[in-house]
Amino acid sequence: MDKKNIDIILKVGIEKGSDVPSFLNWNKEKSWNILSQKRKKRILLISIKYAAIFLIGISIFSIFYFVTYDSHQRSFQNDHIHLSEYEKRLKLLEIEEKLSGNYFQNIICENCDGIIYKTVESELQINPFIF
Amino acid sequence: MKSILILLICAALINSCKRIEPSNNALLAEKVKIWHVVKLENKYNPSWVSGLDTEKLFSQTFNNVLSNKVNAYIPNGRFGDTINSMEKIEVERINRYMDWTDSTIKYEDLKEISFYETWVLDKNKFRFMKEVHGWIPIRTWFRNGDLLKRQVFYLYPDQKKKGDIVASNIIYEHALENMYPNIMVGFDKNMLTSYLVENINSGKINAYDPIYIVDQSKRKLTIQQIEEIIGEPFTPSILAKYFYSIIFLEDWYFDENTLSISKDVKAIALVRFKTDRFLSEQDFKKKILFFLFFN
Repeated sequence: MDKKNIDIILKVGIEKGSDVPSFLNWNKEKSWNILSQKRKKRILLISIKYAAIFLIGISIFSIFYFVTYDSHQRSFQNDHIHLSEYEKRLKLLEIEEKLSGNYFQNIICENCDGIIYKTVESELQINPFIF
Repeated sequence: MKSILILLICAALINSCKRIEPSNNALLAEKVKIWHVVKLENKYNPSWVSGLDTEKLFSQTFNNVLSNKVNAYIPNGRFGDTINSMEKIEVERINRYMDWTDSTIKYEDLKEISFYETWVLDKNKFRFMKEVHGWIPIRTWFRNGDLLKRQVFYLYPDQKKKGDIVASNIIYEHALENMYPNIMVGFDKNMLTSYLVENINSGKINAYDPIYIVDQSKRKLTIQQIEEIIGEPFTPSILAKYFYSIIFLEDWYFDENTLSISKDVKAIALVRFKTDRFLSEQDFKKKILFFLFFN
């Protein structure tokens, strides 16, 4: 059975309004073997082309998603999720140590026109009523 | 005439004897008014503030103020609930405060914001509400090795609108101790701790493991686990004794027309800091005790 015969069968089937099961009953393997090498190559190339387009699309979407989607949310959920329980507890201790404090600081109202505070520590306690 | 007078006196007496409803605010009897500074940079935990869109917040704010669309006030002196006594700030002064000598407008120096707020912790709904009345961008810069900070202008929006989100999951710590008593007016630490201990013990409020700040996992704590973290019995007096600061987890909303900021408090964490003498080095450290999530 060559290409011409297959086309005739398909054409007749469509014209007769052939039902779906009759198409499904097709011996696909046989039909595939019947196809010429050229057509096989073409089908393969088309398949590869669409697969490549699909993969490129997925990649672009993933990059866009990971770059733009709520970067803060990710950074807060952050890289610590995969850590072991022990590592998480260590990280918590580290955070606790670095919590800012307002103790031990000097604040000088250097110039009250606009209120400039000069601080020894990096913290500022504002007194809105300073004068 | 006489009977009318007697009736009026009776009405006045009845009115004066009317029972005062207890406050629904777990922080104090009346309103809590707070001035506090939020640092927009956190070098140790940068992700805590990375959700804030400072460019959007400051560019729209300065655009509106410099074009006189919104009133801004000189950030000196006594300001609070009334703007009648406040003087409007001129554009020249803003430029001077920001050190904008050329046409280049930069917002990098704005590293802190001072907020004037009212706080309510609703006992019935268990919600922490903050109303931002006014706010001040603070310029921070170095000169000759000294760190200098300057309040640029005071914004006190007449109308409050929620606007668009400008900060998601922003985290910052607010210390309850302050050298200036008028910074936190009406805050009753003992009332808050009593309320929390009572309701956590009865199971009405859930306390969560502070590990949330690391991995965002919500792990309910038992009373025994809370006591293990505190290292002492879970009582109001002990909690109040070492309760040093609150960590807030919030979303901020900003309306570009009114320049009003709204805060949605999603969670708080209580921080312990023992400042007693003769404590071991281990004790002389801050410790996040537990998280509380709001509805």
